[in-house]
Amino acid sequence: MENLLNPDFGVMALTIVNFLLLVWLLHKFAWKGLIGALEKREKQIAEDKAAAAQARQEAQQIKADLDAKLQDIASQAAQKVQEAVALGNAQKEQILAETQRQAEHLIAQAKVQIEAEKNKALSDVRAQVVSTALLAAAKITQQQIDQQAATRVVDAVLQQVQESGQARA
Amino acid sequence: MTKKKDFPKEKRPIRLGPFSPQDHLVITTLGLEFAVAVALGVGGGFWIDTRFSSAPWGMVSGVFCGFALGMYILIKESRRLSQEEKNKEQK
Amino acid sequence: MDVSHTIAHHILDHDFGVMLGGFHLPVTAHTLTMLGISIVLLAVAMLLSMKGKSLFARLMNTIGEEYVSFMRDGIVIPGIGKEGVAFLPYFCTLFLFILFSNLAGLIPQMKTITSNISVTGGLALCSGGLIVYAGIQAHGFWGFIKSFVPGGTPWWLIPLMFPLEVISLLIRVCVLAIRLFANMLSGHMVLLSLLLIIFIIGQMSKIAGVGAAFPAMGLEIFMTFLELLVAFLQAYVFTLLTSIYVGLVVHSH
Repeated sequence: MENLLNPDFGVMALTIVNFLLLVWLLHKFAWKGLIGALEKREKQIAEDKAAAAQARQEAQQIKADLDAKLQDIASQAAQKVQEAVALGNAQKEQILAETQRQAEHLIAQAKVQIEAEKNKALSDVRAQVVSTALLAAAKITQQQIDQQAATRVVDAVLQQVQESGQARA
Repeated sequence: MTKKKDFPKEKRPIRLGPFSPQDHLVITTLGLEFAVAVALGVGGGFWIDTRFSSAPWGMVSGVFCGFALGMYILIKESRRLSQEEKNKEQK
Repeated sequence: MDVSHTIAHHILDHDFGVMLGGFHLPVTAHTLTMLGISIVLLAVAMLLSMKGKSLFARLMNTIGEEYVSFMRDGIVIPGIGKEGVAFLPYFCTLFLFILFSNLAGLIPQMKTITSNISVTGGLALCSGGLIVYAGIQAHGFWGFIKSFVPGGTPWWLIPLMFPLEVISLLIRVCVLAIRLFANMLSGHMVLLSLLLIIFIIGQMSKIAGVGAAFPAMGLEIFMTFLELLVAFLQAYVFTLLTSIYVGLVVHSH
């Protein structure tokens, strides 16, 4: 019974030496590596988290910038579209006016030409009628036609033709 | 006292009572510390008896001294435990 | 059968009486067992930290890291705080040493070294040394001495309080040793006694001995499981209390 409660100082000293030696050996071979690996992994996770948070913040910043730019561009585009529409309208008006003016010009020109053609045709018809009438008259009377009487007859015929032409035109 | 049901279900801290888990362990130690204090007093009294051969009086005074030492340790530890910040309850 | 001889053989330490030039070397049964346990512990720890890429190596590394993380986040940091990580190897070794020693005692013919007061006294002295070393490292030598007297005590109380505080530290260290020693010793005594009951009753009459075997074995199996629990618990309590005492000394201001 005494052995139970009386400490043996030799065993106590040996225990202390053995245990401290064990702590040193285990630290050198086992705990240093394990603690280092644990801390390295935790540091890696913390760095990854920080990098991810920073990347997210940067991305949000970029998104905000892009949103502002998009807004800007949209408003600019709307403004440009409005300007283009106005310009288009103005040009349309201009072209219409120009076209109309040209059309009127052409119509006036055409009218003058028609008039000239008509006159030319009339004079051609007159000459033809004159020659036909002269031939007819010469053939009918077989006389020498008095130049004046012939002109008087021709003018009367022409007057008739002109009235009929005017009535038709 | 902050009761367990004041916390959302996933975050309830494990509390066995008003003290933190480490302090509970210290509290379980207090009984044995008291006993060892008395035993130390008895051992000291026995040693005084063998030295000065004052037959029972050394051991008797040793018992009382050990008892006083044990009470001192008990009261000091209890005071420290109840006054620690993390053990103070939010009123 | 000689009951006292059996108890002495199983519970008490047996000195082999090795002398080296006048010095009595402490070669005892318990000391040799302690050497064997240390070698096994060294092998297990090197296995847990083996380098390699194979599945087994990674499994071992995971278990080792999980153990170190359990010690660090469950025992060292709650007790001491962030600066306690410097002491982490000591606590890891302490827990595993006490655990292996306690569990080895449950193997049929092995001795339980932690049921020897000298061994647990040695372990407690190591922890006491760690407490003093941590206190001196944190506060300096005179700061450590001064931390024994709480701030704001009148000068005439100091000669009374200082020895009381020193003895209080001594008692803490003793209680560490006694707790582990008493738990292991009592457990193994009960285990041994239950088996001896069978033989003692069997000496009176063989049939009664056989009849006594059944309840005794039932209790024995129950006590073995209890001893298993106590082995883990006592290792944990020893380590945790050491860390708490170191924390109290480091944070005493």
